[in-house]
Formats: sequence, structure tokens, C-alpha cells
Amino acid sequence: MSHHDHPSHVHHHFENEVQQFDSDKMGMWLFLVTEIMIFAGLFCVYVLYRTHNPEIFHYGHQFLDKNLGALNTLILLSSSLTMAWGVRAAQLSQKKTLLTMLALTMLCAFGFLYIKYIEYGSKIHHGTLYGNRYVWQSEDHGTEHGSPEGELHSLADAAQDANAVRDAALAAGTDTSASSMSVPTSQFAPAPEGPQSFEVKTPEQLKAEKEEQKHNFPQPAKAHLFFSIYFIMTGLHGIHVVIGIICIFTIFVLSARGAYNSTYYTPVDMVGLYWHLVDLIWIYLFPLLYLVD
Amino acid sequence: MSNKEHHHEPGHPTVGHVSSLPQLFTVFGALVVLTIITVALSGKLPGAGGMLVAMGIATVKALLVALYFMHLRYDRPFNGYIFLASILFVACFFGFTSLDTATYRRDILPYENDKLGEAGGVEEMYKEPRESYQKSHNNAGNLHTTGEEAETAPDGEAAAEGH
Repeated sequence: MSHHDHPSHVHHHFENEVQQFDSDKMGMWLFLVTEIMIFAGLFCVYVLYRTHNPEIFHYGHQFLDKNLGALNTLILLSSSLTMAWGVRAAQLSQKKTLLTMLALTMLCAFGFLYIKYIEYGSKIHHGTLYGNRYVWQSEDHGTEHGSPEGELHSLADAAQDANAVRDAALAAGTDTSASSMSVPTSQFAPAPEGPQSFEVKTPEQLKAEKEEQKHNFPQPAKAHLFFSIYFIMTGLHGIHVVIGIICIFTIFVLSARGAYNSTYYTPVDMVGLYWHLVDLIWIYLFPLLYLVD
Repeated sequence: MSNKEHHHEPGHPTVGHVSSLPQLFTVFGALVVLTIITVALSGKLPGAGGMLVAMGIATVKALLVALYFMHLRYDRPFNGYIFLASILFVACFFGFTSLDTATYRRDILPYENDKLGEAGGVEEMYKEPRESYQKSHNNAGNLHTTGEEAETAPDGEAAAEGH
């Protein structure tokens, strides 16, 4: 271990490239552990809130499209494959393959963000947001009632319509005349038609309707908690995806200049490890948020 | 572990492990299959079983990623120990913060009974809708009080109709 055969990419304070590589990698793993700890805090919040308020999670997850979530999972898994392939290409000095794989990985990452953008956009549109931005159904449920189209014409909607009708009927006592039912002023759409319209309904009809929707739980109090947790967890993960894209782009440029080959490819390996961790965290986020049942 | 084997081969790195392409594709295929299984199973298993199975599958997937994509299987064992230590600390973190969970159990009993189709479920909370509506707006302990009512006055009707 003398110093005269020191390759240029080995820093002077390392004995040799093996020691340098092992140190780099151990440092990277220590960093990844801190990342795991950051997300562990959020997962812990998830576990506690879910244990104490299962109805909020059961209700909230209906607003997420599990097909989009599954698609994003497959996209991230593919990007992990291309990243691992890219690391292999760097190790074998296959510059063209390396550049292709890094480009594909970035493409997948942008695809992931695009789908997230669609999902966030629909939540912004429907008002299913975090904290006090949650306006899906206003606090005074009965006086304001949105009827957004799209994503969600399912359980939650039907249950809420029933709630509004029921509250209105109760407010009016047994007299369910239309004049006393000024309740559902829609913000987003014209007054609903058909069986969901707010025509006169007898208490018997209401009861039958309620029976039908026995397992379509009405909106629980504090339903916004689910979306607060959803946005903070997927948001932090999304930030990691963005940082990942920046890192991959950096090594893409450096690779194009021929910075990496079989004698020195450490940055490619490190970015790969980071990217796999982003994938690994999503592997848990997906079932926890999208597949609550 | 394979550092020395490839040491003199040109084009091969002096450090690190080179994954074979068939292995990478096999791992990727397994990850995709496990994802499909998770989605297919969601909502099909009763009670907490679904989430346990989903988390089990997620852990298998995480292990595949860590062992093969992240090379832990061929890496210096110390990196694996660092990773395992973090999981251990996360477990402690979750364990200690979950210690008082049972304290709040009665708050969620109506909901769970309802899911299982037993008496005293959420239906109970809506027996007097106007009342429960007011409670939910005036009283922070809404769920708690309705939970008590549900416990003391089980309803045979709800049990018979639940599935």
C-alpha cells in the first residue's frame, strides 16, 4: 500500500480504491438510514392516527385512485430496474447503455411526477386537501354541498347526499316540503337530477335509503386528517423524487463527458442507492395510503 | 466478495459487485408480480388481515430491492448491519409511541363493531341523527359518548342485519 501507485481518482487520505469505495458506500448507507428515520416519523404518525381513527382512513382512501397508485408503483419499480442496469453499465464501462438507462430512469421519474400531478390536481379541484384547506364538505354539513364530477361518484358521494337529505328532513320535522329544503346549494355543478335530486322524500324512503347505504360510512369528523397525512407523506416522497431527478441528471451529464468507467463509478452507484431507497419507501406508501381496507 | 475474481479481467471493476442482467430482470419480475398480488388482494381479506398481508408483501418487495438492486447481499456485511439497525430503531420508535393505544380503544369500538356487523356499530351513532349531528358539532368527545351508549345499549336489530 504505497503511495506511488495511487490512481488519480483515489483521494490521498485513502490507502487504495477499495478502502475509498467501502468508505463512500458506508457513508451513503449512513445517509440512507437518516432518510429512513425521517420517513419513519411520518409512518409513525400514520400508525397512531390510523389506530385511533380507523374510520378516517377508511373514508379518506376512497378518494384515492388505486389504479393510478399501482401504475406509479410499476413506474418506480421500472425506474429501479433501469437504475440498477445503469450501475451495471457504469461498472462495465458501457457508456451508451449507461446514458440510455439514466435517461430511461429520468423518464420514469417524470412519469411518476406527472401522475402525481394528475392526482394532486384532482384533489385540489375537489377540495380534498390538508388541514383547513379541506373543503370537500364544509364544516356546517347541510348548508353547503359540493357535487363534483369525476374521480369520485361512488360511495362517499352517495353517503353525503343521503346525509344532507336526512339532515334537511330532520330540520323540517315531518314536513318534508320542498320549500324548507334549501339545503344543498351546489358550488360546482347544477342541482343533481334523477334519484339523487332533493325532491320530497318520506321518512320511510329516507330510512330505506339509509339502510341501503349501511356500509357506506358518512363522512367522519376530522376527515381532513387523512389528507394531511396523505399530502405530507407523498409530498416528502415527491420532493425526494425531484432531488433524485436532479442527481440523475448530474451524473447523466458527467457520464456523457466520460467521467465514469469500470475503474471509477462511485457516484453512479451512490445515486442508484438513493433512487432505490425512494422506490423502497413508495413500496410501503402505496398499500398504506391507497389500499387501506 | 467477487472483487478478486474480476480483478484482472479488463473492463470489470476492481470494486463492487456486478449484477447479472437475468438476475435484475428476475427480481423486477418478482416485484411486479407481488405488486399485482397486493392490488388484487386489497379489500378481499377480512379485518386487519388485508393490511397485514399487504405489509408482508411490501416487506418482501423491500427486501428484494435492498438485497439485489441495492447489492446488500454482495456488499460488505457492515452496510447490511447499518440498515438492520435502522429498522430496529424504527421498531422501537413505533413500539414506544404505540404503548398507550389500548387506552383509546373504546373510541373506535362502534366503528369496528359496524365493520364486523355486530351490535353497537356506527348505526348506533346515527340512531338519532339530529342528536348525533349536534353532538359532533358541540362536543369534542362525540365519539366517546356515542361509544358508551353503544356499549350499554346493544341493538339486536343491527346484529341481525349486519353481514
